[in-house]
Amino acid sequence: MNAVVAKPQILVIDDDESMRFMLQSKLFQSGYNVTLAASGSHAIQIFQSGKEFDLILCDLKMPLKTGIDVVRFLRDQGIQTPMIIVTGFPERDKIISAAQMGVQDVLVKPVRHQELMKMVRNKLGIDDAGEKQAA
Amino acid sequence: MPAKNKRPKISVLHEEIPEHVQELMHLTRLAEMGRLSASVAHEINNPLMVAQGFAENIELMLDKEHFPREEIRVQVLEIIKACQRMSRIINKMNRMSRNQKLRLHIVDVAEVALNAVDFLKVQLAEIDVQLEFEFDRPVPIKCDAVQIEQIILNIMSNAIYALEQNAHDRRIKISFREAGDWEQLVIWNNGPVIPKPIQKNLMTPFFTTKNEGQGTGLGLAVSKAIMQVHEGDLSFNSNEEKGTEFVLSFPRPAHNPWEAVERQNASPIVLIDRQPNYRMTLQEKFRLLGFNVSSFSDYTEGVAWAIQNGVKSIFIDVIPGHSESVKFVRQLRHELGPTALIFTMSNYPSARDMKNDLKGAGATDCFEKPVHADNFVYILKLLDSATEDFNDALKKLAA
Repeated sequence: MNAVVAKPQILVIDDDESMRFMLQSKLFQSGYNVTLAASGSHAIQIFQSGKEFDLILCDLKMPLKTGIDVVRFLRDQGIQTPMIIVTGFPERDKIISAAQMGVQDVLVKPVRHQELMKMVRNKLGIDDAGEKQAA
Repeated sequence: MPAKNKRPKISVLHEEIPEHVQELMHLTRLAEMGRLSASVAHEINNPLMVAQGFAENIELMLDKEHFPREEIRVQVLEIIKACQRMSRIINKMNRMSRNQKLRLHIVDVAEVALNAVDFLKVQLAEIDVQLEFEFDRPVPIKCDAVQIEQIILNIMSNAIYALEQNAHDRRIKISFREAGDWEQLVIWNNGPVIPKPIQKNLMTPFFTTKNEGQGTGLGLAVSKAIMQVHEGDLSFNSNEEKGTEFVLSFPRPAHNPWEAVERQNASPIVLIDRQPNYRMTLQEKFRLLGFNVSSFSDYTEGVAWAIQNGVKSIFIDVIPGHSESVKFVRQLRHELGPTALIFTMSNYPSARDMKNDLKGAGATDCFEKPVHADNFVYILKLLDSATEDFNDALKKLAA
């Protein structure tokens, strides 16, 4: 009997509603399940509820709790989920802080589809064939 | 929608700014635009990525056997929305680089100061600055609130820079005082005393004590010039005994829009805002105007209390970019009913973009902080009309 392979679960954190909608559409079309968080606080609440993910895409600049706050929370909780930072302006000190806390993958907006999907596959350990099958 | 009165068009007094001040402001704007590149990049790159992303999605969908027409239409509309957003940002940048007039309103300078404090909250927290806010009454002044907020931001940024030299015990105090015909905003810090030779040149254009790339030296010179255009002044004192204080002096306006009045059986108000100082300033204004205000920092608690106590006039702080804000207003309208007055407030500049969404969700109206005295006139009309309805309802219950 073949095992049913569950779709990877991705959490998208961005305070921009259109951005969330676009990324959800893009990732869903590529065969991933997507959960959305509108803020750092919302993302932290989701983790505190016990939900688990295979990958996190996180904006840096958000009101109240920023992307760095999310990274810090995950590190303090010992949550090892891979994360990609997707930011409109890669401020050097923020990137360094994130890297010091173990998040080294940064994409600068606007990110092209191929570049984003390649990095997503890479972080999820999926090869090119994996995406083609899901499309 | 419950509003019986349309919000009146406010005629704003525009004052010409003298040429020498415009020149200083222009130079400052150019310098600040360089420093604003982080915000600008973020603001433009987001809708750019949204438009690009949806276009790429549509290209992939066109290869599918079944052409998802409606899904494509939705995504095309999102591309159009993103392009409109970019256009607005670029227009805003163009306006910033052009010479401008003062837009004068009567506002509470305490609220203007709180906007600046909120903007700097991350920097204040990063170096553990204790902020004291001494407020006991609204302080009406006639000013261009955006310009005054910039002055306060400049002074507070300088204070934060100075306080980094304190190993510990870093304090800033914002207070207000009357001095004859002047209303004064005082920003004090316990950082190192400004050396006497530097004090002499502090308000001179291009004089700076900061390292290259950290300050242009225009801030205080422009600030003083803008205060003088407001028929006020910017001064400072710095000594070992009393620390360093900057004083913004404004002429007191002829009319105080927040003078204490009696109001018979005014309809109760609920105010929900995370910031305790902002709750305090707004609550005090309404108290002086004769209203009974209950204030909350927690939305759920505030709304539950309003419903339990039959309160139909509610002011809430919203954060742009949060679709939760729009959903919350929609839920609030549903729970409070069609006649309730729901006002939103925000000190984020991008709140303006959200206004249509909030009103569509059921907000009676939306205000940017600081809320002008003119807007208070309009709000009071609606509240007084709600008072009549409230009292009619009470009479019916009693009968």
